[in-house]
Amino acid sequence: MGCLDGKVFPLNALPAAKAAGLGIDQISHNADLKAAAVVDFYRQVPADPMFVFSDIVIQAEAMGAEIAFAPAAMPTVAAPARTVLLPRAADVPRMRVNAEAFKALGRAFPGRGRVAMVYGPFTVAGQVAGEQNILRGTVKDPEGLHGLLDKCTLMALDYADLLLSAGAELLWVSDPLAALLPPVDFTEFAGQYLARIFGGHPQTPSALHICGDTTQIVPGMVATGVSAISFDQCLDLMTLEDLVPPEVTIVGNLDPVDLMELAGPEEVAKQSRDLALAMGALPNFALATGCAPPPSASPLNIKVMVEEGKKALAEIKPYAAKLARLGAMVFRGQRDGVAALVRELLAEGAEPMTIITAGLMRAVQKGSANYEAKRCHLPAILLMVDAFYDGYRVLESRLAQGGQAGPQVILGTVKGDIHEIGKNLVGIILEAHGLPTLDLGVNVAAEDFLAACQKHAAPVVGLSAFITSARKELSRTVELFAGQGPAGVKLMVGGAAVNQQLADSMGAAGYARDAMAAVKLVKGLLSRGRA
Amino acid sequence: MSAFAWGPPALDRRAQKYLQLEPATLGPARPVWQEALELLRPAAWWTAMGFREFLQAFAPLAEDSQALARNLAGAQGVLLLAATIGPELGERARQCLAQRETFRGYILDRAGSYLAEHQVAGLDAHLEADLARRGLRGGRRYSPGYQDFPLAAQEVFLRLINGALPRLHLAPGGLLLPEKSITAVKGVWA
Repeated sequence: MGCLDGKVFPLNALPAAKAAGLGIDQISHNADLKAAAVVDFYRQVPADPMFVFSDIVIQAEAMGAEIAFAPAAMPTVAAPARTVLLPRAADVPRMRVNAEAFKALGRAFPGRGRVAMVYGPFTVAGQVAGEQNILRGTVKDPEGLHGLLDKCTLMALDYADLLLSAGAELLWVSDPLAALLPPVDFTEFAGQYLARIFGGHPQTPSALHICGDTTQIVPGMVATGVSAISFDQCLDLMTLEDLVPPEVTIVGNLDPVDLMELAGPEEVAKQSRDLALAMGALPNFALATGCAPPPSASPLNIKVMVEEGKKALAEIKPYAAKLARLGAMVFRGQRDGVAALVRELLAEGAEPMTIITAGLMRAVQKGSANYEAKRCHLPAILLMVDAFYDGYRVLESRLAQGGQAGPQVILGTVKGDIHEIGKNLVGIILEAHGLPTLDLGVNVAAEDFLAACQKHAAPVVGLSAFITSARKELSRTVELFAGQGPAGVKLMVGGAAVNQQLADSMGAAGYARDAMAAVKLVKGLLSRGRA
Repeated sequence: MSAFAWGPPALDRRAQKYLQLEPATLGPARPVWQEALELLRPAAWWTAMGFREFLQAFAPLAEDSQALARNLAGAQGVLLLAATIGPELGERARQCLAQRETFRGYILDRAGSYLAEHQVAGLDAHLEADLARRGLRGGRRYSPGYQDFPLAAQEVFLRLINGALPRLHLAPGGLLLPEKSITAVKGVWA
């Protein structure tokens, strides 16, 4: 089991300065101030493991780059190094500040883990010599670049030693610039150096974070020998989980800005719980942010994320193995045994909603993510949906006792058209994704759509039309809603008689090519509605 | 014209592609395909008529359709054709979806569309061969609902079919039922 498995934490501790009323420039240079700020931060945020407030330029500065400091912004490289230096980490004042703050964290929270955060050689080389120069160097002067990367690796190893000797239990390397390397170059210019850093501390658990879409370099990241990989918020973890071996922890990936900085605590709680339930059945998962929440992020949001995430993970922990098995069966479209396994989980005390969210629905969501990534066709998803419903039927009656939510989507085939198969499929698949629908059937007049929407306060209405002669009715319905529809209701259209162009021209909020596109569209419309 | 007998196709690569099947879904799809074949109730009808006679029969719909006029430009006559695989397959697909058997419902529905198209293409090829034997050639099939040739033309088709395909009928809006049924006009040139 990996040392981060089952943990919940934000990356870094950047909001600590603001929360303590201190300037970033102040705490970057003063061990006592930094220690006080991060200790105070982690008093509010019950995260495990903890980071010291760590800035990305610390190694580049030590190696000669000129750094600009400001009270309210993270330090940045003002100019590359004129001469590349290789000092001992213990002689670098700001590195000593971090080591001291580390010790203070250990004294304040003896039972909680601490992460030594250092930056990857490729990123540091970019700061020391200029990003453009090193990217060009991969082609024009690979030998010279390898020389620089070698020095950056030695600096990283020495700084890591300093932090580990101050009590850190885990070595974390962030190497954001490596995301700019073409995947074929990753191992040569980043991976082999990262492997040296991790290999230099073979007994210490490790983690690697690279920003952006790292899908294509996951095998290269795994090959560094790292014990955990942290994924950016732009990625869907479900599309990656099969690329990561079970002994490597998948860390991620709540949005550090849109969620942790800009959203309210309720939304943070919801998304933290959703991700914890969706991924938490995997033994090798840690709930974290997809990158470091910025200094201006709210400590309250981070506290909520940690608390809700821990609660959700604890909720599924006793059933995790069976939920994972259930999810895998549904994902394979293997129907035999799904209902029996759901009954077993119920008998053991698992909540019906937990079984749905962490077992049945996560499999369909993973299938959808694979469909989005063009790794499978619709029939494969439908096999999963059928397996989903085999399990859902066992739970349905228990869910009804708790009261049903109103429909999120009202569906129907417009007046003059009686095609229903495509529309029915959309309804079934939306429901399998947790989006309740109300199906008005076929040959539905515009006025009936409007009345149903007013009655049920559904935020999305889906209009289906298969025959070209139904287009007029489609337009009429969209116009009726534009004039008399409840504020904020979004109309989506689909079916063989329409396309994106027609949808745009009639003023619909969206067009769905097929049932899977409808799921994505509805989710987008609902989240825009919330925003 | 000679009699037309249609044989349904195998679940070959082309059919698999149409049904969007891949190795993991081909196995579960095979019995559904077999069920689709068992539910087929194919029937076909065709007739030939002179061009003027056609315009009269379909007045004013045929003359008003510029797209159809382009398609039939210079034709000396037309063939009218209709084919259906019957309602059973579509009904079963709907029933499956109502029972949330989505894979079966979807594959049955797609298979129905594929088989109906295969059937009418077979009829078309049969008629082409017949025309060729007589030194004539046929044009591209053109169905009500294409571009500006309105669905209302289905009513004329039904009148002309005159019960030869007894289960064929119209739903409100001019939709031809059973759903997996196709009518078309095909120009004939010397």
